[in-house]
Amino acid sequence: MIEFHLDERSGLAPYQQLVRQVRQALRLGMLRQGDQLPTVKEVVGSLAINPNTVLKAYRELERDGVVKPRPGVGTFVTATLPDTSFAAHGPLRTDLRRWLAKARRSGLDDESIEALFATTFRESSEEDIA
Amino acid sequence: MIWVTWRQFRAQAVTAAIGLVLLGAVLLATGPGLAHDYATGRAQCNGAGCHQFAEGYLNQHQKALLELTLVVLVVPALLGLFWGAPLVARELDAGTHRLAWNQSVTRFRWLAVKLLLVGGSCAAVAGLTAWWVTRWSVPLDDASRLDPRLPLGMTFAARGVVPVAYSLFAFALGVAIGMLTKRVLPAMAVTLVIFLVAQFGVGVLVRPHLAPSHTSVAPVASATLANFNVSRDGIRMNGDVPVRGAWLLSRSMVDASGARVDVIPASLEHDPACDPTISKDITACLNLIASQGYRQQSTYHLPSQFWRLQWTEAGLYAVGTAGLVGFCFWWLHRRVV
Amino acid sequence: MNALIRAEALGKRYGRRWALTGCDLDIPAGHVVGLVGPNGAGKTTLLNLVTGQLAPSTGHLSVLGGEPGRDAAQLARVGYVAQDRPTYAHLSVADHLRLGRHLNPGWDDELARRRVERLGLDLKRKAGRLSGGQRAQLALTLGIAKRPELLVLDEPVVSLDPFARREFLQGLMEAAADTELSVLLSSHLVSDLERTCDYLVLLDRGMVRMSAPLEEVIATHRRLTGPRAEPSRLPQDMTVVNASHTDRQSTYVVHTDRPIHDPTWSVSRLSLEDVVLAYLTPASRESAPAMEVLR
Repeated sequence: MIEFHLDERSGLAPYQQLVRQVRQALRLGMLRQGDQLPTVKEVVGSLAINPNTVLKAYRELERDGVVKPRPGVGTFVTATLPDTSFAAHGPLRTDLRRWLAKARRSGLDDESIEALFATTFRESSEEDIA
Repeated sequence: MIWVTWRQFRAQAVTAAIGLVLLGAVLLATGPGLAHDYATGRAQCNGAGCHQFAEGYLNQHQKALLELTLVVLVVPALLGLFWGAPLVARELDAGTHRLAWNQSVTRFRWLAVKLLLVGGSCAAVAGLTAWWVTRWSVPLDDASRLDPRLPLGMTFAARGVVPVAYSLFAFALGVAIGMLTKRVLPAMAVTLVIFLVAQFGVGVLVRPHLAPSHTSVAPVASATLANFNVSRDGIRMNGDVPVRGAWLLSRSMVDASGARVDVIPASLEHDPACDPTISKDITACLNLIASQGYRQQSTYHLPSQFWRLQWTEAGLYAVGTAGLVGFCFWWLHRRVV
Repeated sequence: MNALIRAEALGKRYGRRWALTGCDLDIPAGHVVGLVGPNGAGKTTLLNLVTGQLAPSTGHLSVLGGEPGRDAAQLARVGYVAQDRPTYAHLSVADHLRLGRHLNPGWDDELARRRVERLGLDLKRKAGRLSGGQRAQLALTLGIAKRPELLVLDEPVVSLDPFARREFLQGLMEAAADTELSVLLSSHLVSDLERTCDYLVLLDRGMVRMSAPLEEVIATHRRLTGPRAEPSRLPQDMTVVNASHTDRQSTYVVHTDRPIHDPTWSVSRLSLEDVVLAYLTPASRESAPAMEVLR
């Protein structure tokens, strides 16, 4: 069983935070196949959040095939994430390191690098939407 | 709702019950002796001796009679103050009406049950007090007919059905004022003032007109003389009520033409018959006054009109009470939170 | 789905002062609705109308399809934890539960006792001697155990310490999850509502400025920052909520259903609090009548 928490300054909607925490727990092996997630009432009672928020998070996880509700019992983990290991990230991480070194060499400080990343990230995700 | 009303009213009801028990104890302890003394005294007396006995008997118990009459007079005011005024004001003051009015009971039923239960208790307490004290003072009231001591207006208000009517009126007044002030203490103060004004006003201005009064005109005679006073500006005198136990409304002298006279002109003072320094016997003086056409006039209610007066006054208060209760429901309907 | 609250041109006047004017609302059931607005915006008046404590001066209001406060049956369907969470100071906790049982046909004594026990409230203790947080929990217990379909709460956590505040909201949300209860709660603090509500009604100076699901509110408001420009230069299909300018820069808070691609503007998301504040700034309030109200 895992325990949820909310970060009000994360900028993410509460339901997204819950989804992310389940995925993170799966990646780190804190949740395994067959484990039960806390009931809606438990989450609501400990976080003082809207029950619909929890329902929405669980529905999204269900849609992604990560969990499955068993009526009258609870919600259970049915699958592990495809990219469980960090190994898959290895090549990407190497590329990113190389790019960061290049950016520093061309005189950018940390803040500028972050701003550049954020604007590019936003532009590319908006292109995806469009 | 009945349980809730009872739970909120419990402490006040217990206080009243203790008061009634104490009163009952006093009345039971003294009542039988009082009645026995009177019965024996009356059996042994005759004629003027009876008058003398009554006088002595009343002297002996006057204080107790006055105190118990006051108890009956004060009870309605106390009920209005401590049961009526806080009934709704306490809820409005603490904001608990917003709790009460949001249960599954309409606020009309809420008020109706409260009024019926607490109002009914008011009537019971006042009725029991009045009935007990009335019974206890039967010998004293009887003796008072021979020798009136307390103003009859005062005994009237402490006997029969009017104390119940007063208490219901005071209670409804307290509730209504409490709704307006929304605070307990101001509600109590305003209730007290208005109730006293109503009691005094009705007693003095209204009660004499609740039943037709009788007027009698009698010749001046020493046997029916109540008081007689000679001074520099003339003679003031009044006659007795011609009926024993009647409630005197007014009395005065009238001259030959029937006009009311407060002071019989001073010229008589110079007549030696009426000069107290010369003549100790006033019969001659009275004869002189009678010969000039003066008579004594009294206006009064007969003792047989007692119950008619009681019910009429009780009805008057009942109309007032109904009006106040109507106001309470109307106020509730306006839904001022 | 049934309508929780439906209001048409609803208005309430106290003497000559209008506390609420021209309110149109259509809120579906099953939500936890947050009613937010500055002090004196008319929040308590609206809640008192919904619970039937007040009668409207103008317009029409129906709650769960019925006229508020019309009869005992309607009263049983709506619970109300009024402002300052009133309880009877001289009555014990047990007496309060008994009061609830006697006054409510649908009273769930089991639920009430379980809650009181779990909160560690002493049944024999008089309500006047409980802490503020405990008294609030007692008032909440009365509201929940009545088993209403809608529970209305007026500033329920104001003046509570952070711990009691959290505990109160936990209890409320548990009840909402447990009994499929719709909830309408007011607060002048957005942070109280951000987590607990999924529907937002923004009230300002007696008027409804916004009424929409919380997610929609977050998703449809954006802050645009860019070189100084008149509103006419903004992309189409958006409503300006709020604008501020410096010599060179303009900042707009806008309401729009569409993504913004115009490269002149740097676009950022807003927190709920930012959105609410954008509606309440003086400039925004002046232009209020001309502005479209969200549904």
